Amino acid sequence: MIKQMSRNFASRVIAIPLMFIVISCGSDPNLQKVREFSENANRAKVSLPVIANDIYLSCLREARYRTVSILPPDMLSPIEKREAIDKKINDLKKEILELSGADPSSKLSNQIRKLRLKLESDGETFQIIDLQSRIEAQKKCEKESSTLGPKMITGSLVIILYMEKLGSIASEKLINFDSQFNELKAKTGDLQGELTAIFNTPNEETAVNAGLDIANFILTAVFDGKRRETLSEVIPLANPRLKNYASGLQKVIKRVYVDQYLRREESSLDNYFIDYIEDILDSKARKEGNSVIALANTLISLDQDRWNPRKDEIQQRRSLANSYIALLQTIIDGHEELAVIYGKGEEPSKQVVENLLDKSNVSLKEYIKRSDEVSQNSQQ
Amino acid sequence: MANFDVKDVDLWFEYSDLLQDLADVCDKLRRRGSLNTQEKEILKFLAEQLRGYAITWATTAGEKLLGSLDLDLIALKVGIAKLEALEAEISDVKAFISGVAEVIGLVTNIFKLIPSFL
Repeated sequence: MIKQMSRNFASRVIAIPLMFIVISCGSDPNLQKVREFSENANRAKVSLPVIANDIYLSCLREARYRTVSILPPDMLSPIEKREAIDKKINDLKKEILELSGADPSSKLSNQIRKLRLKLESDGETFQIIDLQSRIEAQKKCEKESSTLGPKMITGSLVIILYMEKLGSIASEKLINFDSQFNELKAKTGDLQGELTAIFNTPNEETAVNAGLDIANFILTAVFDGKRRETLSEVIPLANPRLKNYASGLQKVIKRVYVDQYLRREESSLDNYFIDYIEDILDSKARKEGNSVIALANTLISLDQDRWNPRKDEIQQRRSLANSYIALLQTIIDGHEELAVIYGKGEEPSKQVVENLLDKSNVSLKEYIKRSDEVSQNSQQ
Repeated sequence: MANFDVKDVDLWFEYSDLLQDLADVCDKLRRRGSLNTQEKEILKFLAEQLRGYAITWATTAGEKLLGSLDLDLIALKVGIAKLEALEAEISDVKAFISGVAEVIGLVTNIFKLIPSFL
């Protein structure tokens, strides 16, 4: 699913961060590095939306870990159940009150009231509540977690499009009128030939070509100046904006995705398996003294084959997020460096280009490596 | 979250962390052998609720944070427009030169026809 989303996203415009740095310097300082960077960037662009899409997917995965006890829990009398519900609600209110230092908002109060009604109207055991909570948690993901990811993708797209346009403007190919002037020279030559043949006039082809060469030179110089002027205006102005947005994106990835979504997913995963194992250990079969070896094998298999691989996947997603944050930082730093140079009315030197290229390649490689790990696990 | 101010975004993330910490405490308490099933279920339920609120707060804070940066995105789009304008200008000049070449080609073809009329 992640790969499918990635492919869809990749079919849209994504760019090569800092690619413009490579080509804006007049001549390539290191063609091998440029090629390497280009290849890495092309691979990375497929992986960029993995994190944004995984916010929603992590929420769905977590909902699936909502456990259902293997063994029926102790049946509660209506009075016991009411007391339990009251205690739950009061505890929840108390915790929230302590945290916010004020009454829960009306939205929160309504949620609690609804929760209470739902619990009270449920005539069965808490086991049924667990099943219901899983379904409702999935619905909540749809409502709550499906908007942040697309917002992040939109923001990333603008950053990337901006980089792409910078690359396009800085490209030597853009301000190169040779093919147009060569075409013009060829057509003018043909015309000269015809005119000479018909009117018996002297052939002025050499003089015309010289004139076109001068026109080409002047036009190139004019647009080269315009390009420098545009980059000197746009880069320093865009720099604080780019820095702000990319920093905000970094914060959301760290504080929302890693610290909240992945943390909750991991906690729920742990609880799922701990509850599962505890239920097995407390089961009637276990108490009746069935094969200890068989039981041990079951537990080992649970641990090694199902619990640990899932935990590893979460850790890989965490690493992917961290490498994405590092990649954004490389973009911020690289652009900042350019903004300072262009702000002074200068152009970046070859050494500056090489350094930025090296840093970008390191960040991109790291991100691609993490992304490949996550993709491989998703396929399994 | 009604009175959410984007300046307090870090505070809301901290609240979310605290809620997750509390949920972890509930889970630890739940593992105590002395608790009966009812008490364990209550703690489990509470932990899930606390984590749910943590996610709600953090997600809303994240959305508000990115929403507050919309002006930065707009400014970047203005930068993109300027770059695109230059790009278009250069493309227009290229198209003009090619157009002139094309016209010269047409004129040449007309001249090629003249000898046949002479």
